[in-house]
Parts: sequence; structure tokens; C-alpha cells
Amino acid sequence: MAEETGPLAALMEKIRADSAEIRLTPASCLVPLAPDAESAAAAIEAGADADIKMMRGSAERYYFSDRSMTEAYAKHLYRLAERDPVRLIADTTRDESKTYPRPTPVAAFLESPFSMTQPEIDAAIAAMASIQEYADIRTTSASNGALYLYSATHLGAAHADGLAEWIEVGQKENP
Amino acid sequence: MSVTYGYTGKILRVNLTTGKISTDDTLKYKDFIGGEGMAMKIMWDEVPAGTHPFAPENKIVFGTGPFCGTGVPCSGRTNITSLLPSNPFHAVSSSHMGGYFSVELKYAGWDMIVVEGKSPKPVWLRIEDGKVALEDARWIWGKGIFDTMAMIGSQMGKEAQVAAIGQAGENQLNLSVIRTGASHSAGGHGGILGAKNLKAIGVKGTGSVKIAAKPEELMALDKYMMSLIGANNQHVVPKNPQPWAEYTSPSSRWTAKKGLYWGAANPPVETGECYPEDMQSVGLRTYKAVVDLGPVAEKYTVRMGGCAHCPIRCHSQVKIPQLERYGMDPYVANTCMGFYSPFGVMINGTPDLPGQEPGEQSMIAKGLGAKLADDYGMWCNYGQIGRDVLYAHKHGIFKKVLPAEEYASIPWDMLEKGDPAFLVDFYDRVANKKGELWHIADGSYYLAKRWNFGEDYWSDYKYKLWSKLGFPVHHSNEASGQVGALISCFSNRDAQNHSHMNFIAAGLPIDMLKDIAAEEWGSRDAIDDVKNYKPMTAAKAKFVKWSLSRSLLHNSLTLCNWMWPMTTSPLKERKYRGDTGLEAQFYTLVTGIPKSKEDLDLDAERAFTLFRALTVRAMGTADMRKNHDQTTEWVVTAEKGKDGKDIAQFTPGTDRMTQDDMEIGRTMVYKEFGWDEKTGSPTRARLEALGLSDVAQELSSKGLLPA
Ligand code: SF4
Repeated sequence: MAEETGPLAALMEKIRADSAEIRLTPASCLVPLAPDAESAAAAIEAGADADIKMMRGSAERYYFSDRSMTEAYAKHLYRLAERDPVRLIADTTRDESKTYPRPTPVAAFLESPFSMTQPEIDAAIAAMASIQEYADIRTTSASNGALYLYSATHLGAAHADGLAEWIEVGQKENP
Repeated sequence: MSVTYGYTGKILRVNLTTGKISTDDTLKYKDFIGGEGMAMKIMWDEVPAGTHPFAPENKIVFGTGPFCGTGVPCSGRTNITSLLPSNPFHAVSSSHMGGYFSVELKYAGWDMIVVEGKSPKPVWLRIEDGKVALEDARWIWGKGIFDTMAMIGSQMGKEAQVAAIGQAGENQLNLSVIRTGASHSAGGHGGILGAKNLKAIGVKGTGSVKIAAKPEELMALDKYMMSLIGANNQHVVPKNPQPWAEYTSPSSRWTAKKGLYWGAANPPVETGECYPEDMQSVGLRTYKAVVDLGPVAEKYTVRMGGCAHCPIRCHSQVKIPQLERYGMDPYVANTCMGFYSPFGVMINGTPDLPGQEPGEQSMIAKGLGAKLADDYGMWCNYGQIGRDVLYAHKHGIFKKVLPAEEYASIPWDMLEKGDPAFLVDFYDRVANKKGELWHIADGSYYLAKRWNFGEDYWSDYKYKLWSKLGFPVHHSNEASGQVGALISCFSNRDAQNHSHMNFIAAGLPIDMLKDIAAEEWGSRDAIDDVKNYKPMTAAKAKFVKWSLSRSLLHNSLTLCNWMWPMTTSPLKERKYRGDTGLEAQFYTLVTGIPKSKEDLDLDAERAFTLFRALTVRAMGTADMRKNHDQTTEWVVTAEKGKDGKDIAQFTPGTDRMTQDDMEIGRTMVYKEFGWDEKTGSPTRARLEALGLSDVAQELSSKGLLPA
């Protein structure tokens, strides 16, 4: 257990308060409580309680307390904070293809916490096709036309086709 | 009579031929648990093979279980068992309804009602505690179920619970229901009440159910159980990402989320985040209206409703003012197939009209169909009726079999263009047995014979028929490959089994489910990844036996198998494990009869084996493998992939099975039950070991025991 008062306690309190409001805490937002982001990071790394977690972004570190949100949810917020919709869609898809495994309905990105618009999603998927880093991300569609994404690293094409059809059509016909 | 706990100790027997009303002792059947198990015993003992379902000699058993009326979560179901009219051998089957009927029956002092004979004139059965009478029903005969309930309610008071048939049951349609409450239908047995001239049963009870344990002990177990409960179908992860959730599933019925409202409530109710630890929001988790009726239903939803003792509430109660255009009141309630099936008759769908919101017309059609089917008391053979309309329409059969005048009078143009008003015409004709069209409610086996359907009716996946006995898929091969497939093979109607389905669709990653499967059924090989099935294993056979027995156990206790068993939970700290010993813990506390999980599973196995013996007796053959347990052809035929080529069985992307593997599976399941491995029929030794020597004796005397 870290100190109950003092600078580190204040940093943890701020992170926990943000997490309770379902927000990540970027390191830059800790500056009023520490001389700069680096020293805040160092203090947290050295002695924060186990519930305080860090995710390293392209330009920022983000913190959250897993007392208020799971790592899975924090990852979504982190990807949103990074403002790279192509990566957000690709990495979310990879996670689902690996974990469950299952393809990801594109329509899921219309909903909370992503709340993207259809044009944003379409543009991201179109952009993904020409970037080598995302070559593993493939599309498949169910017979009702719904589009799904999957990572070929974790799911084969036939399996992804079958799962998308099951989730989108088969399951609804067999409630 | 000595004090009984859980059970009231009394069975009500009603002979409609003689008008005799008598009392029997429940506990003489206690080896069969309750509800469905006890009904199997009564059917074995009292209804001879060869009896027609509509004959006075047939009996119909309304059963509750020891948990009804005690507050055990999701224990308010009613089990109904009788001969099944739509089955070619009229084999014994059960149907189930929720609502509040069973609980009221217990409060009136009865565990079960056994009805036999045939009344010379229409009657309804009035039960007010120990006062039981047959009342004249001529004034309600011919009425729909909504009016019937209102009229009986006007005599008994609004606290009475009523189970009734509509015109479909009166007219002895094979596909008819018995309904209670606004939306709780037991499919398949309505015609039996019609044949008996019994329009309805009204029940009002002022008693209570005694519990053996101290109230605080039951409350503590209840609280523990509530910590393990998920959303409907025991889905334990939410559909959308939530701050508290590690996992999600696009198929989850845990649909509550911030910003999603019961929009027609006054004021609107936000479903919200529904943290798993928050017991007060359990009833908000399952927002089924937006699943069954689409997102458009949000603003039409008044609330979610359900059965007695159920915190889940999976029945959507919506107000759709557009229904008034069809002469209906705007309030409609139902869930799942209750909405999908009547709508399935609209084989071309119901496209939205200009000015309508996306999905509005299909929501209206689903509401209208539910209302009509619920009033006439029509059954759908688990969604088959729409596919039967599709087959007959697509193959020009209506034109061939309907008299020209009748054919010309049907508004086919409405069906073609997707006008929901077609349903009004369709259900009137069918439920009121008009012309030839009503035979669509004979059920698949009889209909296919009468209208001379081709072999493709059975062999084409599109029509989803599971068995030539005339029933369709219901969580069959698509539900865990051989596990669901074999479960369906042991049924006399659609399998109605969720024991396996609730587990495999819980929403957890496959690796975690496999770990849990290993704990429950001895090996991770008891389940496969969805659409990536592997050949049969012994652990799958154990899972099949467990699922079949647990389903019968739940229908006996009577617990909702759409929630139970609690194999998983939403709790990360329990590694998402549930507790499959809960039924036994509740049983012991409620009844005071100590039982372990293994004891109860053995009781369920006894009842399931008796069910099997009943089927053997009804079919007059011991060779169940050949004559009963086979599937239609599409199940064991490779399906085509997107490229038009066959997807080989047991490769990723398909859930089709092979005949050889299914035969291996049958043998393994027979072995698990201790039945004859060649024929799948119960052996003398196993029957005797289960205390069913009389059953062995009778089967032997009929030459129906395996060699
Ligand atoms: S889950 Fe649904 S069907 Fe089951 S008891 Fe609850 S309300 Fe009734």
C-alpha cells in the first residue's frame, strides 16, 4: 500500500477519481500535482498501488484504476484517446479474433464507447486496405449484408465466414 | 396428513366424464421430483399405449415443482405433459408456460392437476384453495384467450390466474397452445383441452408453501444464487463494452447500457450499466424488446415482464399504437419465438412503408402476429409454421391443394407485398378451421403427407426440419456440434433444451469455457469452438446426458431452463464459474429431504429413462437408433461455402455432422445412460437399477426390451 497522503497519494486519487468517471488520466493532466509529466510517471512507477495501471500511447502515457474499469474497457478509451480510427478498428478486431475467437461486426463501432459515424468507419476500413501493417485485417459479410472484420493471424477465412453468418443470421433464426 | 415442505402434498384429479374431483398424494411420486418427472410416471401408469391424444382416455398433467411458491429465482414455470398430437406416434411430450399460474396453484394447495375424460359440454375448472368445481363454459366457448381470461377474471377476481385455450385448441388443431398471463404459452397441447371440452382453468390460492429450512438460510442461498445470475439465457457478459466488463458478446441478451431506455415508460427508464454486483438492476439487464423487435422498439417499450419469482424479466411489454389500425389494442407482450414465429408467415418480409422508421413495419407485424396467435391460441411448432408456408408457396402447393374458390379468396397479394394484414386473414382461417388451409396447423409430419410435400422439404436446410417425426431444429447441431445435435435426437418434439445452450453462449472466450467444461464433464473436449467442430468424444456424450437430465430436472423442480443451470457467472473473482450444485442445495433447504447434486441428477436420469421407455412403448419398437434417433439428411451433408464448394465436415466454418460420427455419438450417449448400445433402448438391468422394475416388466411383456 502506498502512502495515504503526499504527492503520490494525490496522483492516485486523481487517477481514481477520473476512472470513477470512466475517463483515462493522461500524464499531462497530472502536472498540477507534479512538476511535470515525467516526474509524475516516475512517482507512479516507483510506488503506486496495484490498481493503478498505465498504458503508453504514441505521445502520452495514460493511467486508470482497475477498481473502476477493466483493462479491456480502458483499452477502448486509450484507443479512442489516441485518435487513430484505423488502428482502433484494427486492434479491437485483432483482440476479438484472438480472445474469443470471433469476427467483429463493423456496426459495433457505431455504438458506445466508440460512437463512430458510418463515414468515419468506412474511411478507416478503406484506408486500412492500403497499409501493410494492417494486412492481417480482412472482411467478410453475412448473407444479410452485414460486414464483419477479422484478423487472419487468429482466424481462418472459412471459420470467420461461418462465424459471421452464425452471429448475424443463424443465431437470430434460432433464438 | 403429515406436514410436507416445498410440496403441498396434494394432487388434484379431475375426471371430466364423471365430474368426479378427487385428491391424490404427491409424495408417492417423489422419486420423480415434481412437474415433468412425476407426469412421466402418471402417463406411464395410467395412459395405455395406442391412446389417441384427443381420446377421453388420454390425460393431461399440469405440474409444478417443489420450488414454485418459495421464491427460488426463476421457479415459476408450469410443466404440462400429455400425448403430443403433432407427433406421428403421439408420443408423450411436455410443454411449458411461465407466468404466475403454478405459484397460484401451489398457494391454493395443489402440486399438480391431472385431467382425464371428456366433459359432455364445455366447462372450465374453478379452483379456489380446496374448493374445486366444474363451471359451465358455454358462454366463453368460441372466444379468444384474451376475452376468456377477462371473463373468468370477472368471476374469480383479478388475483386469479387463468390458463386457457382459444379457438385453435377448441377446434383440436395439432398446433395449438394453452396460455396463461399476457404472453406465456405452452405449445402443442391446446387441442387436448379442446377435445376434453375444458376451456380453461382458473385458480386462486390464499395459502403458502412451507419451507423446511429457516427462512434466513433460504434467503442466504437466494442471495448467493442472485450473485451468480446473468441475463436471460444466463448470458454473463454484456453485449456492448461496459466499464466493469472484461468480455463482451454481440449475441448477448445483456443488452442494457447507458442511454438505452424503456422509452414508453412514464417517465422513461434508463437500463444503464447494470453492474453485476447490483442486485437492484438485474431486471434491467435483459432488454429483450430491442433484440426481438429491433432498435425501433425502444420508444415503444413500456417495461419488461416475466414469470413469478423471476428477477430477469425476458418478456417485452410494448405499446404499439399502430396495432389499432388492425382493430387490436396497442398493448402486446411476448418474447423470442412468440414474436418471430407468427411473423415468419410473412415469407417475403414486411418492408417499411414511406415515412416509417427503419424496422417499424416488421415490429408492427411481429406485434400483430403475436397478438393473433396468442388470442387464437395457435402454436408454431417452434417457428416451423412460417417455413411450411414458404415451402407450400414456393412449390405451388397452395394452388394445387386448396379448392379454387378458397385459393381465390386468400389475399395472396398482401403476402407478396408484405402487408401485415395478411396475418389477420391467415390466422382467422387456420384457427377457425376454415377450408383446407387450416391443415397447415397439422404439424410437419401430417402436413407433408396430406399435401404431398417432396423429399426436399426434409432434406433442404432451408426448412430446418430436424427429424422425420416432424419437428425442427432447436439448439441442435448449431449449438455445440454433436452436443446439440444429439440432444435433439432424443426428443419427441423440438428439443426445448437450454442446459447446453446457456453454457456455450454465455459469451466467455472459448478457452475459459473449455476449462469449465473440463471441470464439469471431465475434458476440455466436451465442447469445441463454434463452427470449428471436431469428431465425437466421450466428454461430449457426458455433456449430452447432463443437458438432457438437467433439462428434465428443471422441468420437474420447476425451474426455468432458459436461465438454469448456473454453469457460469458474471463474476471475475470466481473466474466466471457458476455453481451446478445449486439445485440440490435449494432442494435440501426447501423440502428438508437431503439430496446431493449427484442424487438429483440420478432422479432426473430416472425420469429421463422413463421418458425414453414411454417413447419405446408409444412407437412399439425397441430400435430407437433406427426408428427414432435419426436426423434429416441435411444435418449429415456437407454445406456449401461462399465459393460454392463443399466445406468438409469437421473443418472450420461449418456445423454439419457426418452420419458415421453421429452413430458413434449415439452409441456413446446410450452408454452414458446405461442403455443398450445397439438400439438405444433402456435395458432391464438399468431400469431395475433405477427402481423401474415395473417398466422393465411391461416392456418385456410387449417384447420391447432389447435382446
Ligand atoms: S427468464 Fe423469462 S421465461 Fe424464464 S422465468 Fe424469467 S421471465 Fe420467465
